[in-house]
Amino acid sequence: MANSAVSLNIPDPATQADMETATDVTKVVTPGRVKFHPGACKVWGNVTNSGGGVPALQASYNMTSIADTGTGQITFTIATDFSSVNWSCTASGKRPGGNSGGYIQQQTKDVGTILIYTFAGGSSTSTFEDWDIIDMQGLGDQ
Amino acid sequence: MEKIIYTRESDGGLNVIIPASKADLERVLGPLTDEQYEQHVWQKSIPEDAITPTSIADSGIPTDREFRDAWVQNGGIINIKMDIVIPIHMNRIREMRQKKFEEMGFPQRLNPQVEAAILDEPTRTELQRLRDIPQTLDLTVAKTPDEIKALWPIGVNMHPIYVK
Repeated sequence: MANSAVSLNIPDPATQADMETATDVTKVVTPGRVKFHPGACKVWGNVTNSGGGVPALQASYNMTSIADTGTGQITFTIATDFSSVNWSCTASGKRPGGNSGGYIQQQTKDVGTILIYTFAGGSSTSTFEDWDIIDMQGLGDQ
Repeated sequence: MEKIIYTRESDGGLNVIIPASKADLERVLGPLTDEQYEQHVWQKSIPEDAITPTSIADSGIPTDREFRDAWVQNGGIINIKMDIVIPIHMNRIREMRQKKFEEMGFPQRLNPQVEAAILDEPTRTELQRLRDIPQTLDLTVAKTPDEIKALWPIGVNMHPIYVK
């Protein structure tokens, strides 16, 4: 095979600022900087409750801990905080016994914590209830 | 790493901290020694006004959550406070008694004169018995959660939280 010069045009890696601006279409994304894109999930956690003892944090990303605050009340503590309280939280779950109804709501939200309530019914007079599964995800600027 | 308990300054309630795994945290924070991992969890999870934060072994945590809101800290273990258990249990009786009223077709209290005019004596007696439960059922005789669960009024379905 004859020697020949090969010109490789390797794009520069995107910086944190590039990722946060999210408009450049010429640079490459590296695994450690995906999290800086505004569309990327910054924190998530999967919590299960078997009905005994305390809930378990089965898997998570950027989560320091959960706090069992009471029946139907779990506080999520984030490892690297958001830059403001205006981050977006989504939570869902599964009621015990496969029951339908009930509702889940965010209560107190800060840059590094969020308290999630789960209820047995769908009205303001409903009682707190421990759910079998609670999933929480958060997006926003850190 | 063990769990951590502390008493909330705001309302005297108990928080139990369940740390994320070290491996999960290292994906964000980078490699951590065990000491750095524990230091991070304590610094981020324990508020400044927390009262007597303490590590707790799993053996010190109650094995069921029927009276979770009555958990109180006693050093490095959790006790269940009966003064709080009693109103929790009575509220559950009231909740199920209301369902009984609805089953009977009387979700609201009737004017006594109307009730006397439209209901037969056995039905009125049963309604009154149900209404009097908070006064006639003495829950203070119970000394443990198991004892209080046995104090459940006749004719009222058991609360689902006690049905395993």
